[in-house]
Amino acid sequence: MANLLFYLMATLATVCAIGVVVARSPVVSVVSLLGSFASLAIIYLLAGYQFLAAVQILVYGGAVMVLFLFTIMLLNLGDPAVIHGESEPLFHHSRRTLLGLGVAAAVGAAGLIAILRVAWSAMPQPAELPEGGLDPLDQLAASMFTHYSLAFEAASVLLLATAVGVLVLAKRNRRPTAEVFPRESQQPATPSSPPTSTPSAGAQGQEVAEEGVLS
Amino acid sequence: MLQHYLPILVLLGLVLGFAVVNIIISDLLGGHRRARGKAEAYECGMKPVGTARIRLSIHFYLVAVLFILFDVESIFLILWAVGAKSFTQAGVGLFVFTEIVLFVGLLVLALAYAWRKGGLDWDR
Repeated sequence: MANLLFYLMATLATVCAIGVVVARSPVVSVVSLLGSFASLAIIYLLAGYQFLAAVQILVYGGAVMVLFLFTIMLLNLGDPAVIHGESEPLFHHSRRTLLGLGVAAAVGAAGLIAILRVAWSAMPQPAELPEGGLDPLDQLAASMFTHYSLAFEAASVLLLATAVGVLVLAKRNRRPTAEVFPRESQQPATPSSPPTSTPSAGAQGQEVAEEGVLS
Repeated sequence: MLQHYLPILVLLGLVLGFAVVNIIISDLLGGHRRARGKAEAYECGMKPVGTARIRLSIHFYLVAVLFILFDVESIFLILWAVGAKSFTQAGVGLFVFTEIVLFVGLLVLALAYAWRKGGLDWDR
């Protein structure tokens, strides 16, 4: 039963991951990625890591996904067919495609050989999972708040730095706009705000990359 | 261990089933008279101008990142809430509590900074 569920979820995760790469619309890519995250969460659950599964849903499925969606919507991505004039095939560099497939096949073969070198009989039989899973919350909490307390506090500093960073990025052009338009006439300042956010759009990609590491 | 998650599966099935069955039922029972005028914007609607893929304000991004901050904070707080009683029994309750106060304090600082900078105002 659990094995069947694992193969089902692994297939779903792979199909969704392929969908992320192949989809032409970035929003479809993101939703596909969400499916991949959800299947991964169930695989974690099957492996006995329930807190990891919950965090996967909460952080990756919720927060990172929101970030991806907003980043995509911040960039001016129109319909690709309209932008390029016509829909061109995704893998049109046949030599590079072959090279990529070759590398992927080599890595996969190396992994398979590594697994098969270990005799099947020597593989440890999957033990019955304990009732609380392999990451009981109380033990996790105990080691996090006592042994890793410094890292825990560092995480809060990192979060603070993120807040400051995003505020500096997003609110960067406020002061100049206010100076161009005097205080009493606040009405003209509103129409000019879309152009002011334009320069910072390029910096968003970096921020997203850092966010991915953070979470 | 897995059977503990059966309720979640049942809930998922109910939610999906409710959504799908509603679509099917309304499709089966509803009329299907198509007319040109029906597809058009009517009175209160506006003629569509351009595409829906417009660039959103940077403010949404700000809100998204602030959401992530407090999302991550909540995970750490869940861990603490689960272990709080055992910490008191182990005699490190005060130490861990100080840690949490420091942690939340720093994030309150982040919130206060965002508030002060106008990151929470919808002004554009």
